[in-house]
Amino acid sequence: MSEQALHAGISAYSLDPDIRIERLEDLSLAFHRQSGETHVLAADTEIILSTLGDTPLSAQDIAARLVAEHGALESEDGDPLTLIEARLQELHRLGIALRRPSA
Amino acid sequence: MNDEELRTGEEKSAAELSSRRRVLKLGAVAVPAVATLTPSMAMAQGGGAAVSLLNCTIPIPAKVGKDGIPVPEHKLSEIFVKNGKEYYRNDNNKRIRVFNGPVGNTAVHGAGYTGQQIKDSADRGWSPPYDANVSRKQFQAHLKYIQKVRSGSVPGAGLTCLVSLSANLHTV
Amino acid sequence: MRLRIGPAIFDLRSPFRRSVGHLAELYRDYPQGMDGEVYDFAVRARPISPLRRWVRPTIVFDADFMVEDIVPVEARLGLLGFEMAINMQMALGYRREIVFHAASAAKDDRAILIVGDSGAGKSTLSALLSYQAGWRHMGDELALLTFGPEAVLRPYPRPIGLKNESIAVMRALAPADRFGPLLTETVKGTVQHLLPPQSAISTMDEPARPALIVSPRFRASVAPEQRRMTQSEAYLRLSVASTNQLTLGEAGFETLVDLVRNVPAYDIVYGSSEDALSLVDDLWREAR
Repeated sequence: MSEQALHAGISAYSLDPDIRIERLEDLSLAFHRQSGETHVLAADTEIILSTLGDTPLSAQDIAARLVAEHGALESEDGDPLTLIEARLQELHRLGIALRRPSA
Repeated sequence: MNDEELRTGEEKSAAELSSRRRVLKLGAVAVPAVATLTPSMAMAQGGGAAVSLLNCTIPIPAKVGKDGIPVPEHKLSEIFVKNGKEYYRNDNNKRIRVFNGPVGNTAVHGAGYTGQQIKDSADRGWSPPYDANVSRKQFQAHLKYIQKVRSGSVPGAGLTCLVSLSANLHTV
Repeated sequence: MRLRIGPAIFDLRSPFRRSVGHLAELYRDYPQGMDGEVYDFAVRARPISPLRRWVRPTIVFDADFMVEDIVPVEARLGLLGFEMAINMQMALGYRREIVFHAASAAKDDRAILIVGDSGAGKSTLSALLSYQAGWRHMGDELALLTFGPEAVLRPYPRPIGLKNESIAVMRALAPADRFGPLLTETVKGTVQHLLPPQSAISTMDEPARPALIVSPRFRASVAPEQRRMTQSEAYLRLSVASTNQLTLGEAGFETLVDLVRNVPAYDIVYGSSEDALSLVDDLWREAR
């Protein structure tokens, strides 16, 4: 987690090691070993998920990585950062992403 | 939305995909998964049931904006009538026409469409299903809603039906 | 009686002579009399009450795996009850392979997997493939897929449950002595079982590699149509068409991912059996 995020009390996310992701030609599947659940991921979830690994990242860290990789970030409406955070929270709720601190 | 607009929408998303390198576009609301399969679903069927377009159902909310976005719960009480038509003001204070869900659709329980109705409608240039008792404009709002759920930009149900359908709609 | 169907051994018992007679007739080509072996599943028929063995005889079934909504059947339909109970054991109890609610058939060492709801035309298509188009029948109701990256389908050939109109169609194509008794006024209408060709039963230990997946749908008087499924769509359809895949953990996940990556899947719509066979023929020619 970036030092900045830690001090500001911002949540940081990492991929649950129990998750296995398989990319198919159209969408991706995420299998959770412990629960046995299979999630069919929405088209752009994979992109956010691809930045996640063992090291916890904040929405800001992820946005920076996506910009570095894709050039620019845009959202249908609203702030891309807010959207990334919202999506990370949903991924956490589904048990795909781990959150630290959990506050 | 006429069928011209719907096609343009499809093309646009294809174009967006190909230019993902330059601009990464995110959906408006975060829905990470279009469907989740749980172990309990295997046994619940008591013998496994294939999802077919014919039988699967896509629920539609009771009040949907012309933009395909369901009227948020806290706005339901603020729906007003003007010239016999319903409207509400969204969070950006924009006035949006409101349509009812397909409550008169005899093909499904509750308000919604079967996958087959949507597929058949696509085959007929997106005219409303014969047996659904909805107006053309109303149906267009529902289609916009379905597109948004499918792309994950609004949360919604319909699960495997939508995934089956997405492939069908892309070939239109 | 004890008999083996594909990889599973069943122990079947009934106090009703008619049911026993029907079973003996229908399963005459299957390996039997494995008294010293451990059986996988037992299915017992019994009268709903002692009196009902004689008065309006009605049967209930006892077995390891049953769902609660299985209703007692009239004694004259005992065969149907046995068939349902046998299917239920495999669907819910068998865990050595992935069980799909699907038909399958093979040509040489490659197989087609036919998925679809009840009533979609699986059984009819399956019967046509074996009795008209020269395919090796592997099963009309449940298909068994082994685990792993090079998964194969294992035959589970059963008497084919023909319903209503398809009975007459198949009577014109299959020898009369392969048909079971005509069962009228069942929950599914008129039902008659058609034994697969003898050769399908004698080769029921030979697996085949899946090469094509189709999901048929019959719609009266429409032009034949085919549409390729996307991989995620095929995954979802197969996963929910399986009775146990979701309960088999990572092995089940991995096997199905490999299957949809390697094997093309199609929706097909047909209005006649000729159309169905020619659609399958066309797709099979492209399959590898």
